[in-house]
Amino acid sequence: MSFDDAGTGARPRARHRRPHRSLTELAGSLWRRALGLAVVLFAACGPAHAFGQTGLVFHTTLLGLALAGLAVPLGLAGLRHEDLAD
Amino acid sequence: MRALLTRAALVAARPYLIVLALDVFIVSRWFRTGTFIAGGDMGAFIRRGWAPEMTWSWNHQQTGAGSAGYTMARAFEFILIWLCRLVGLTEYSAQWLYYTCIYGLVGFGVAYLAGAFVRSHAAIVVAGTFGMANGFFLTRLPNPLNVISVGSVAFITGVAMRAALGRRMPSPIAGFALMPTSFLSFNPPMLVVAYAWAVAGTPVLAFLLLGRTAAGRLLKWFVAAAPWAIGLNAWWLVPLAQSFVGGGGATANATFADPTNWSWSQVNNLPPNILTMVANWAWFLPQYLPFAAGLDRPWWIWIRYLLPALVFVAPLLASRRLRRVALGMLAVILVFVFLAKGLRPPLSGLNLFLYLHAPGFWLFREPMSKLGQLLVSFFGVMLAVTVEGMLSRVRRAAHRLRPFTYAAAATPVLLVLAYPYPIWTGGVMPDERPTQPSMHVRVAPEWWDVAARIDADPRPGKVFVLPLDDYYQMPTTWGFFGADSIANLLIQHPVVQPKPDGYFGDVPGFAADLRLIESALLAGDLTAVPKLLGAIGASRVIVRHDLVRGLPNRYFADDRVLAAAMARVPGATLETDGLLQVWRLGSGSSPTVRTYDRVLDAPARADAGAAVLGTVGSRTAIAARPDTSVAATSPQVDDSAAVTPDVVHWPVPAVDSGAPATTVQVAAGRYTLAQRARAAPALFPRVDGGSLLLEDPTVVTVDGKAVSRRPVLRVPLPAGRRVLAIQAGTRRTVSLDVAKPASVPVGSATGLTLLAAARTPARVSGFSPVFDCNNYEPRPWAELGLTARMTGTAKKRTVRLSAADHAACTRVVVRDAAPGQIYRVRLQYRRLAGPRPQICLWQTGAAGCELAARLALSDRWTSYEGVVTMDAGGELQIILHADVGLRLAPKAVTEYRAVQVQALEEVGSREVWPPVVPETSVDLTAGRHVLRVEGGPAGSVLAPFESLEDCYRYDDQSAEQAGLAADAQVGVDGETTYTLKAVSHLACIGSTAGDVGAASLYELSMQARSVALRNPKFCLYLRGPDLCRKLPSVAVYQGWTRYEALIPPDPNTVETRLYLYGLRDLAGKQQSEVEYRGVRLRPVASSSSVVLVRQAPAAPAVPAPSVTWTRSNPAQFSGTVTAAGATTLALTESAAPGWRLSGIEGATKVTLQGWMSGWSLPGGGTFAVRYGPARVARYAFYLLPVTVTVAAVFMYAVRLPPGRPGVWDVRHRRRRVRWRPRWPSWARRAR
Repeated sequence: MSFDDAGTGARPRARHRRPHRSLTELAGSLWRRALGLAVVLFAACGPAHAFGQTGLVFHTTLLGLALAGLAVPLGLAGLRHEDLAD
Repeated sequence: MRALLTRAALVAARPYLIVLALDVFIVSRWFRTGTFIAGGDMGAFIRRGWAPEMTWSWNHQQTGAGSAGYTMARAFEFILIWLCRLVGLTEYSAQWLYYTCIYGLVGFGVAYLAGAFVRSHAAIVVAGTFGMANGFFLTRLPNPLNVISVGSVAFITGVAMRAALGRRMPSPIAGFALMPTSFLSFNPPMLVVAYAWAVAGTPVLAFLLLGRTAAGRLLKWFVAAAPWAIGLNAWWLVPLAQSFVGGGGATANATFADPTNWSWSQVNNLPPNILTMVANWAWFLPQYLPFAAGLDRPWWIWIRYLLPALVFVAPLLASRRLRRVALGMLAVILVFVFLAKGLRPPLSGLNLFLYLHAPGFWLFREPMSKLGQLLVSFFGVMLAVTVEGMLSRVRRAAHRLRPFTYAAAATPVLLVLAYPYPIWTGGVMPDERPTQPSMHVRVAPEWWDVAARIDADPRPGKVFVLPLDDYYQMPTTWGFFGADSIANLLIQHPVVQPKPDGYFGDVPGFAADLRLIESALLAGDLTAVPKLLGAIGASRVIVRHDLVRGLPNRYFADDRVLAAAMARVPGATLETDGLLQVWRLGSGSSPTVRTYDRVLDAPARADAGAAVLGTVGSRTAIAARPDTSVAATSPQVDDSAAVTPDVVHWPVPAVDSGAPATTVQVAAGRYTLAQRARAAPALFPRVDGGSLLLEDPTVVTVDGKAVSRRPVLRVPLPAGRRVLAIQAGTRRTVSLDVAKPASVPVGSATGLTLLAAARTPARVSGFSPVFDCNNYEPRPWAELGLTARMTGTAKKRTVRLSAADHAACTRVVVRDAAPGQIYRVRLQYRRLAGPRPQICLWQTGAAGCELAARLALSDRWTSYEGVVTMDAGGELQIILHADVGLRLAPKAVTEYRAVQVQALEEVGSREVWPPVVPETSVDLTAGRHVLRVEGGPAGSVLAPFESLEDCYRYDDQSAEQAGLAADAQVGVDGETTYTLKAVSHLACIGSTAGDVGAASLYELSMQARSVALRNPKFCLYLRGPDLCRKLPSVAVYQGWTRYEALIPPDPNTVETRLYLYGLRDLAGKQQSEVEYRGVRLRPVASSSSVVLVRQAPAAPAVPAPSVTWTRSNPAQFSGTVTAAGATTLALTESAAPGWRLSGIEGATKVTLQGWMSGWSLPGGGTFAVRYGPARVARYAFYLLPVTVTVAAVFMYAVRLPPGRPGVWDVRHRRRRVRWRPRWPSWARRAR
């Protein structure tokens, strides 16, 4: 907060507002979450199969593959962003 | 060399050496001393039989008739065996060494590929170890094809990635890297996939992972490497190309008309299974993978899913440098996982579209076996990236926590590697598995001995092995069940042993000759056998007694009968006796090059040619016309008369009524008329005074005049005994004290047993009081309504059994039955209400009733006869039923009368042979003549089809609820059309075939079509074996589709039934509909084919042509023909375009005997016969040492300039140098 603005009535500049992000930057953060979730889903299939839930395993695997399929282009876009940022 | 031994090189090689050490450990766990690993498609690791012709592109590896071949593609195997023998070891050790090498290639290849990207040694070791220990190999070992394919592809990809990265990669390396792919030539789709990946896939991979520049660099490197790849591999590429481009000889069997034909192999190709590398059709079949159940236990199965977790986490853990690689690799993995699932969900329609429209996509008809190989490499790389990422994070952890973080990071990796533990323990090569023998096999010593004896005779001649295989995988008594190639592997002479349903088969003419030899031996038509054996160039016959008989749906000839028949073949001498009998034919030599005096114009039909060869002399050959018929999409029986100016061949058909007849147009002349056996003749027994006559009622007539008939077989009967029944080779008993005794097939060495009334009659009780013999639940007696009402006199008593629930039964007891005593039970029955009547013949100590045919559903009096032999002494009970069956079903009422039990005893047994039908001569004028066979059976043996049943009731729905329906309509042509419908379950109607066994050959024929949703399906059910008989299948149903097949009866069958099915809608929503008409099962009117061969017109006697010849090598013969005039020269090698004759002007090529190379010569002279492509293949073979030498010189002489060390020199710099070793002065570099 700037003391120069004190008493002027102007709204102080928000410190924690996120700056405007590009799509590639957004992709760069999203792909990790998608892929991480896919990894967790695959690992969770193990106990599910051990308990005989083969139908659940099938659909969970498909979901994991879909998330991974989403993560790959996002990741490559995110890489491009990092390259450009460098 | 010094560069290889420097510390940097050794450090760089360390992870690969570790992987190779693990390879030696793993492979050693698989073997047992003194045994081969063999089974399935893999025969014993013996190559003696192939060794002499290995380097020639014409040999006898695929067929004894000779064919273009590329056996040199297995050069590595021959080299290993040679090396082992050099140091006193055997083929058993050579196989261990072989697997150590090829499995080492897998581990090294995957590690090498990973090493192109990662730096961590541990990561490289993990990749290589995963390459060797994964579910893909768990389900495919020990087939070396997959092993070599994965190893080659991984290594080639590693080379390509290094080249793309700009590393030092001399271009000749491409040639050496492709050398292992020579073995893939034995599975052409696998070879195509490997090369497609090497050429097209690796640049795409480089582009995805490393960028455009890297891909361009790789393509430039390809241009430089291509000449080396071709030059260093021409030695097998050239003969391979020759074989597949009209090389000649064997014909390829593998066809792919419909992608859904291979859907059975994709049954487990679901995404979870693909990601965990266990997608294999055999996973739930313990006879193939007995260890799979252990891997599926709950406390172990969860580990399987750590693999995709570790693979997909790689991009998250990868260093910045490898992130693009990891993401790109992930994209490729996702695509391959989608393709590897084949026609399994989800989105199977998209995969089907690719199969039908994408060029070359048919190669992936079994997708996991092709694409899974690449997934192994990709998963290995991703695991390496993960491990390297984990290690870098662990190193950043706090020092005191480091051991725990190491353990936490290592545990999932170690579990993934440990999951397929049978690979580590040797359990992947099981010794015990259901219905299959051990994978560890010791070849029977008799085979080694017989091969040595046969090969001790250097004279030419092929070796024919009997019985003919019914499938290329055969069960043996010495513990091997797999590809039946042992004779071919051991014996250096050409071996004639067809492999049905293998990749390659014999040409039709050769195959027909072989079938007729076996049929003639079994049917007693022995005069044809030596002629046919001479026609195929055989000098020896092996009759083997090492096959396991009696397995379900396995039909191959009885070796005992074949041996007995061979003993009677004119000119055959038993050379070796025992487990393998070897018969020498004539002098024991059959010339490879020969002349013929006369060549007959024979029909295109292969069976016709074989029948003619069995009739004519050894100086006469046939030239079959080309077969221009269109291949049918459903099985057909061609029983029309095939006619040429020299030959008439008529396989006598089955008919609905009357006698079969055909009209043929022939040229004038004198003809030899013969009956060539297709199966054993069916003879009718008749007692005539003191003899039993077995008569063939069939007579061949030409223009109404009888010209050919089989003599009567007369068997003397024992004096003073009246023979009441006979048994001829099977359990089937034929009574003689009836108005028309049934016929019995009498083939070679048929055991005939004569039965007469026993001197001590049977002690038979009367009917017992009624009792409940289906007490499935306790109910008051009064509610069951069980009654037995007797009527008639004591001698002709009738009992009426009635039941409202459960079953009303009465028994007749035969007491004091001695062991081995035979009883014949006769009675009459009829059903008045309710389900089918039942009769149970039960003897003391038996677990159940005697195996017998079901009774007919008839309300008219029907005769029953059953024969039972007592296993042990005691009682025989004849239990008569009126069984309601299901709860709340209608009342059952059945009547039985005239029960007779007669004790029989054997009064004589002997081995009988069918009388030979003598050949006759007939003079025919030019024009049309009528051939007829009179006296044979006619009509279908099928009873009327019974009412609709539900043949697959898997839930509680009733037939109505399941949408089952059946209808029969008689058309204007008198044919009945059966319509079957089903929404779920399985609609079926059945018909019992009466007394299948009275004839030796039946024709099953019908027309069938799909009206809605599903194709027709039918089953010839055999009671006894209790299975549907294996029948030829229909490729495509197009409208009304005709189906015809010739079927011999199964001797172990007590009843044969034909079922017609209406299959359900797979979605369970709509009603499917199929139709059948013209359904028949008819015995053929005669088990013979009628053959007429025009005799040669009388001519002045001239000296017969002769030939003297020498063999230079398998592809070259030369000699001199001595002939007064025109003659025909033949070579007992398959006709192929490459065989050319030189030296005699005016020679024209002709195919003889339906398969053999031949030339019509205008006269004698000196000649040379060569297989032309062999010369080119030979040059390519000689090129190999030259190209290897040039490549070695090139790699030494042409090195990358200094100043471009790549990353190798800096890669292995130690991070923390605690001490520096002191190297000796000679190893230190000059400063």
